[in-house]
Amino acid sequence: MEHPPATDAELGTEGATGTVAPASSDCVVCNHPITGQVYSIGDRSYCHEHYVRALQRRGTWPSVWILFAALVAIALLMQLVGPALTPLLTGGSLVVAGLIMAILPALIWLFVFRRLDRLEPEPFQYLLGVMILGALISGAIGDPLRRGVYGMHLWSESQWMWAIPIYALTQGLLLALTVYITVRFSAFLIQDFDERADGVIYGTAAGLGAAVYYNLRYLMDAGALRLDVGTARIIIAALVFASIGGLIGYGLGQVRFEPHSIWYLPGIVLLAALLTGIYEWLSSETFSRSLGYTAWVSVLIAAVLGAVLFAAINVLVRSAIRQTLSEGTESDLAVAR
Amino acid sequence: MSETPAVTATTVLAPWAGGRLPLTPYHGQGGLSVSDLIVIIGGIALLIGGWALQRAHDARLDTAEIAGLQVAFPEGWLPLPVEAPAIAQWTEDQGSGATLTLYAEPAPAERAGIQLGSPNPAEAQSAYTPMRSEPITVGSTSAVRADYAYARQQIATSSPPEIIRGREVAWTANGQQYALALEAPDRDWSSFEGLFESLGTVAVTQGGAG
Repeated sequence: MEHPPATDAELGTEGATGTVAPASSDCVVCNHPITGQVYSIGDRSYCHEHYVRALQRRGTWPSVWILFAALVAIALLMQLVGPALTPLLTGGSLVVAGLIMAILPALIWLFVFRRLDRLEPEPFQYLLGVMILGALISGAIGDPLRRGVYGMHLWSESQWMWAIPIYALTQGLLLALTVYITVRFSAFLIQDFDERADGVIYGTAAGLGAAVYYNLRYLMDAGALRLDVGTARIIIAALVFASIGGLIGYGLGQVRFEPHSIWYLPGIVLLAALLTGIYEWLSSETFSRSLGYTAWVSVLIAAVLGAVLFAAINVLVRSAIRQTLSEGTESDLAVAR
Repeated sequence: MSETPAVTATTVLAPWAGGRLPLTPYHGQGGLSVSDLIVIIGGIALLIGGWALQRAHDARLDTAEIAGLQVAFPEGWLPLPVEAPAIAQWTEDQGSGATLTLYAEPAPAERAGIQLGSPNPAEAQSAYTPMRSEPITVGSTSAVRADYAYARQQIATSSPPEIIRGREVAWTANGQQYALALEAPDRDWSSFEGLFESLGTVAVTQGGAG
């Protein structure tokens, strides 16, 4: 089916019309052969429908932040109503509720992060594959080390000068290395990893995979599902792990398309480990002597850290897309702006 | 696709060509790069460093099995004989008078699983003053943490009573009510209170899962 050239009104952009390539090829979004006019951004070819969609201002960020606020609100709400609901969950309903709690927030975050890649959203099956691989590596290597060698499931310390370095050099590094190895030796090598922002998206998928595993493990450890504690922990942990994964993915996206110092990736991995250490310290502070707050404050503090990391990922993705487009045409630059 | 540079046959088939690893995985090379090796080998070295740091930190603590419960106590502290409801007690070895005590008593059957009061008898001490009490969650176990103080008269001396500061965590598990209490003279309290979180976490987590 042939389409007329996209108009400014359709694009919702000012002055960005894209270029019309003479030769036909496959659309980078739907992968179907393009019949009729071929639109392009940089070196990417689009069919009419996906070209319009790529250039439209989709209002993604307001909806993403609303979703973020809604998930945090659910976590806080569960602090109030969770204790009343928890006794109602027994037997099969308990198992189902546990699985939903461990997996659903991760899938929601995966959907959210995928939306950020407006130029060429990655195939969902690839993201799901990276997520599963991240969970498997966490279960096969990360968690046995975390529990068996470090005993971190029983470890706690409130003094930040001990807690942050130890959390960073144990759980933080394990998470960072899990994400790094997952992405570097899978998605990084495929053809669909064709822009810097893809690193962020695949990194978040790997981080979410690790989060799903650790959340399932947390629920199994707990023995009984507690909605007040569990909901908050799972939602926030999924976001933070995704953001940490996104940071490492950003580094991988950068080195794939630009020459960088050999210390660039190690630096990113160390930074990710340090941020994880800070998060773990904050989230363990429910038991703090000095701050003396109860669970909902802990949820808020962890959520603020999650929001900061999430905002950083926003900046990184936008910067990556801008860099990608800046290598294209003038009209692409207009899109980037 | 679009941004992937044209990769030559040499880089694909022989990333080690010339006997040198590529410095970074620039252009999406599949083989290892120097940067990858730094991440992986350096990461393992730092994990070992993290283990050593954690051991150095935890060397401040020792553990003991008390009535099926694993309890951590500061290294070098000395065990003391106890009377019920205490089931174990340690005192600081430098003579400050700081103590760590584990109390246990059966929880009434009809109220099992509900957080009750603490078996810690400190309330009976003179000038007992509750300072703060709050519900907390350690791992998945509900507990109550409380700070308190009381006056302790030195036996056979004419010196004035000494203010003792205490912090306890109380929880219910396996049909028992437990309380782990750290107490120290007010003048030394700041030296010991930092230990409490690690001690309490080990005890509650070990004793709460069942």
